[in-house]
Amino acid sequence: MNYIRQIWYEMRQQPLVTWVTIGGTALSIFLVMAFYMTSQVDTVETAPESARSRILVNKYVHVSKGEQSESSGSMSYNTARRLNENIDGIEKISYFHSWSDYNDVSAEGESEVSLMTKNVDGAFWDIFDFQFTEGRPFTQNEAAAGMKKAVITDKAARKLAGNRSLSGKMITVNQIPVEITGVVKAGSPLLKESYADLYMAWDATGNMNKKDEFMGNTGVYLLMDRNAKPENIKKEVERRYKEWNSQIKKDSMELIYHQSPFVSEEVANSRGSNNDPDAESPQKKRYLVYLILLLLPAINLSGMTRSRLRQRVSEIGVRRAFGASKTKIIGQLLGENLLISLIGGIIGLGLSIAFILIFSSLFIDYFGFFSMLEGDDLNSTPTFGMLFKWNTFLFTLLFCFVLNLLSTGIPAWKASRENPAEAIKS
Amino acid sequence: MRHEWRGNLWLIIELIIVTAIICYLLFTTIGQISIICENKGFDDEDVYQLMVKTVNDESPAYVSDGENTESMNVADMLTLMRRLRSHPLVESAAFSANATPYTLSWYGTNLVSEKTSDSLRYNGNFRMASPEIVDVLRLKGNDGKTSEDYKKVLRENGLLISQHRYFGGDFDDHAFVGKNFYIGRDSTAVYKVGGILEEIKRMAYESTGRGMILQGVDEGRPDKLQTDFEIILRVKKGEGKHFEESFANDKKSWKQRNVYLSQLTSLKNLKKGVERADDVQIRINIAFVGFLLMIIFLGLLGSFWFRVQQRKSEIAIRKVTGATNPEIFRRLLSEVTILLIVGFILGAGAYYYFYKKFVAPDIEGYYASWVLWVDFGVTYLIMQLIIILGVWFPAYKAMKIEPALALKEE
Repeated sequence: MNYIRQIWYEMRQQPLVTWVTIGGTALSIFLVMAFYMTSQVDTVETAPESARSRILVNKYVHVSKGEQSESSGSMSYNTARRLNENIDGIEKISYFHSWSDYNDVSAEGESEVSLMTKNVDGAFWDIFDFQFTEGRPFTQNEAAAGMKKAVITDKAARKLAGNRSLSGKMITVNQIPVEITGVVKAGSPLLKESYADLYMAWDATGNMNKKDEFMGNTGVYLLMDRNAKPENIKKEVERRYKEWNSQIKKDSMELIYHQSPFVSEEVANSRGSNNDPDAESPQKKRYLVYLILLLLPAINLSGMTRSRLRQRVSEIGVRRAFGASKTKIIGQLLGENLLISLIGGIIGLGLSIAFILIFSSLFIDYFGFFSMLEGDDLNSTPTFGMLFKWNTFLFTLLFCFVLNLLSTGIPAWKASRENPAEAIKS
Repeated sequence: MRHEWRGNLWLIIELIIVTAIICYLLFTTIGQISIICENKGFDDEDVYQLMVKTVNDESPAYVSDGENTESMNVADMLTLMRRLRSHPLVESAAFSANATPYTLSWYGTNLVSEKTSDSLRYNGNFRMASPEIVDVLRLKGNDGKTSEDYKKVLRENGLLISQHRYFGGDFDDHAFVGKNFYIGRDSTAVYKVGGILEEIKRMAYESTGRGMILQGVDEGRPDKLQTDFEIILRVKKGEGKHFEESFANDKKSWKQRNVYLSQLTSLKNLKKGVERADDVQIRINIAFVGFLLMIIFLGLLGSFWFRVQQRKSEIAIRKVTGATNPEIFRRLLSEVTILLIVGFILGAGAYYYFYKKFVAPDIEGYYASWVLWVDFGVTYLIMQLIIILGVWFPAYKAMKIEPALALKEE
């Protein structure tokens, strides 16, 4: 209680400095948390990617054909199967068409709309936890039989046919009749792997590229079981690369391994089909940004704390004279400032959430250079649930504590070392 | 100043860090802005992209002509193109393969001189389009030829190449004109380079690091065509919205048996998607610079507030001895400007070292050399400005000190 009274007294004594201190802290926490939360969107686990930390993605193959040439791109079905099927620790495997595209879709009696379409097999629904509002997913057998079935999102269904139910109805996709088996709650374009308006049943085996042994149009999602580790899966895939390379060496060919399959951080920082993903550089950059955003305000606040404590030298002297230990003085000063930091921190956290919800489409590029999103999809904002997890609040507290320690630690330590007699005299 | 040496030292450290960071952030931002201001080499106003699509045999609408289905489809595609060109709102239209701006294809090839004794070699992005692309994109040259001349070159199976900067060496584009070349390794046919176009970028945010080789699509030879083109078209000035409405309301006109035109997108929209990552990066850089300046501003405001409080009597004495308000403001400002100059020199020096060691080797020649010096200048100016703002309020308070009262308190 004394702390609060003391702080209240201090705040009223120097209102400008109080507001500058709170403002500086809020600004720092705002920036740090904005960075933290936006970077988290790449890996956050939320439906339909609730198992994101267990989902691995393998899309590309890179083939070197001696000194003549090299090419890279999507895998053929054979390559995808040979490199990814029957790996220990993998619970489910799903094959999907590597290129999602905007297609012309129309429902009976309605005008044509352009919908983003993803071609997937039946196992896709076991890996991504979509919520079905109507009907059911298409099955693996239906997809494998080449049946024209699809699942549509509620958002796309409304765009296509207003409030009319589409489950069990026929639509046309690029003028081909397709049956809608179910309607799912729309995901976010920020969840790149699961996002589409329309999911068409797709049979990877029926799309084998006969011309090229290695390359084609197939990608793979792998769902690890709960005890599996991505590095072990990667090791196994790398071993398969080596084994295959030993067989094709005689033809002066080589498959170049690029750390596949990718975890979510690597998917977010993929650098195309012929490079290793670079998840480390953005992480290092982020740590540097955190450091700068804590260090600069800390220097500022430290200067102000030092000046403020200079005015309290005699008070500290009296406390020392009445038996307060140095540790107690330091503890009290840190505690007082921590409360001010927390007020600034909470304001900063609130501001950062509001800022991201309102302005993220201006400042955040979740889609990367290879994005093919169009129109409204480009302006997606993360939901509150994607931004705020309880660990976000814990991080705010941690940052406040570090900032407080950095800005008040040295001045408090110096103030506690003042000779009580000298301090009272001054 | 010496009395406040510890506080000043921290302030200088802060100014060094902030100077270096702002120099870093503004360098790419100024560099990118300088690139954006360069000529793109094409005019995307009132220009649209359309996709040519075909219905396959899975659709009940599919029309089969046995072995001749593909040539029937090609003929229908040409019919749709004629219909498009005769639309009252369309100025010109062309088939395009990778030739639409903002298509980020690096698909490229070499032009190799047919004379083995000639070492002329041109490397560029390979694009194919109907000769009308010259009108659609308003392509211009720098060899004195007209757009009709360029169209004629493409019609006669010649090639157009674009001028571009070769980093680190002289390159005479004009030496190619009138000469015959093989495209890539294919030595079965030769093509004459008929003209040099201005530098053509893939998008506004990129420097023209690579040239462009443009080959004509010969619409008079249907046997050589396939239906996997896209269409790029220019509508009459300001008629974009009307054309969009007309296209959406009359889908039947844009379908001919198996072939139909779809997904009308303005180049402005394509540009938005493609340049989004760069736009966002520039906004982040500027916002980050803004926040750093706010941090500096708050720091100055806080620390100078205390300094002025402690120097009330000194300021009062100055006022008593005849110092005017502007003189007091100048005095306080000059103190912190000295700190800024020291901090700026050290911070800019640190950034220069970083630039030479890590940045310059990667971007050799990409940005003009003046970008770095403009970067330093802009950084100094905005920091000086923020310092004036940060010192103004404490100084204003100091100027209002009543000398008699201040000295009495003492």
